[in-house]
Amino acid sequence: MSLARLAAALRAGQLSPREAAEDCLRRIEAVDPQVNAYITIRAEEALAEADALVESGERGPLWGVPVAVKDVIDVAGTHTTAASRVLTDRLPAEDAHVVARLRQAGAIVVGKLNLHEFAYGALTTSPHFGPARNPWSPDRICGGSSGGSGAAVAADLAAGTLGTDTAGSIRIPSCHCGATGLRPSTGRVSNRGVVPVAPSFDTVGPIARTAEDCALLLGVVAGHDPADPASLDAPVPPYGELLGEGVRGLRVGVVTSLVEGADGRVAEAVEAALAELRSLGAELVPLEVPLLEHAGTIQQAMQFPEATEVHMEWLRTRLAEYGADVRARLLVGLFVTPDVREAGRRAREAASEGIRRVFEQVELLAAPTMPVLPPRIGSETVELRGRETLYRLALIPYNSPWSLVGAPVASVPCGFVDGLPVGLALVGPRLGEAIVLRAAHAFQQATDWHERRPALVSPDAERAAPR
Amino acid sequence: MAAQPTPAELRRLAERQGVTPTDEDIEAVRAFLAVLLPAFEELERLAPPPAPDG
Repeated sequence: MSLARLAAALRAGQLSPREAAEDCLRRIEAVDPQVNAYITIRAEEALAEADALVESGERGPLWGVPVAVKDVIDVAGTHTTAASRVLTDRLPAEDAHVVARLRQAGAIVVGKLNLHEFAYGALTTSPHFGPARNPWSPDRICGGSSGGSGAAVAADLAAGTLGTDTAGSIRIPSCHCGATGLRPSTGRVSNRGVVPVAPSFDTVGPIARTAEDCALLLGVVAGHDPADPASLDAPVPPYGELLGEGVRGLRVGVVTSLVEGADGRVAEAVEAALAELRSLGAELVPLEVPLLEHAGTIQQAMQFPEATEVHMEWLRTRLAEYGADVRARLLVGLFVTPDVREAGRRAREAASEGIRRVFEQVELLAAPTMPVLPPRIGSETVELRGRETLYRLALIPYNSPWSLVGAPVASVPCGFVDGLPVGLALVGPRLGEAIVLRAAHAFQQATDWHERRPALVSPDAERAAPR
Repeated sequence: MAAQPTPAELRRLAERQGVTPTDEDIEAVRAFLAVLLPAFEELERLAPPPAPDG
């Protein structure tokens, strides 16, 4: 059941917050051993909070809804591990701003979700907590870094989740797990109480079943936080109310090079999705985005040193406690010169101006979320257009262009290849989450890709993925 | 194109910043830098510093 429908059922008294939490915890107990989406399950706390919620009498928009958050987001009294041995002692006294918002809205936080160590990688194969497994094919990765968030949604282990995104970490697992995810504009959601990766790119955002669910979650967590200097003081539109406006008349820029660069089967699914948008009244405009081919380099010129700065003290004193791949990435930041970083900053400004001009021609951009299917756990390469390619390099051109300019991006399920989900990325202008969600919702009203369930959730699933 | 720093040069740069990587770490870093350094050179050409006034 989608988060929006569950919230409505709770409000209507069809079930109580305790019953919703118990149901969710039962599924976690039964299914999570096969998926490893959770690092910490807050069973007792969640049930107590559900009971307290009923006693309080206040009913917010997420009243009684069981949710879970990526384990870089602080929940008071519960360890934040970031899937790393380095943080095993972090026991926050306060909720992250987004968790406080969830609670104010009546949500019950049932647990903390697995991720790539320190959210710095896209595999979610922590050497310390084990890999999160893709519910559609448990021998494959679920993407990352918010892999547990994507897996939990796909396996019905939470009604909705929060992840974080620096260079694709919400979009990638949403795509690979057949979930709907939204990277909001950078600064739209407070990062206070969240373990950073590279602060000028980081944002919290929702991963759930539908665009409507994401709209509900974003409406709760978005907004100015005076205690976070990067938080934008901008009005938050009523996302849910704007969902129904459809795509008729919208000009959607199709990023041709990204469609053509993807695995041919992925491109085919995306082209079918674009045809669906056209049939709903959108006008498709083939185009290219300035500096697209340099976006990954520009982001890395800034992201590597930013991330290394965050970790500098631990690199000096606890280097051996990091997993090998994250250790290497953090060490790379030691060797990026100030001149390169400054060139990255200048190029980022040019890229932002280029995107701003693109959005004078179109209201939305579309591309594949990912060009490839998720690799098997243990493999770091994929075949792309007949060439063996490092997975971490394949994803960069599809994700960095939008992170770089702080644009909102949704990943929407749009088909299957070999039984694995494929995602359509819908990109909006800065602070244009409403138009992104509106297009995603229109697409989901006309298709049922987001309703398909992996066999792991229900062996008799009414609508398994086509082969 | 600038040459890739040697393992000894990388180690020296790291130690100057108070970090002591292993030989395996240095090799992993060199694998990243083999891709990054040419791209960073191109980036510096793409976005050169503004000319000084006057």
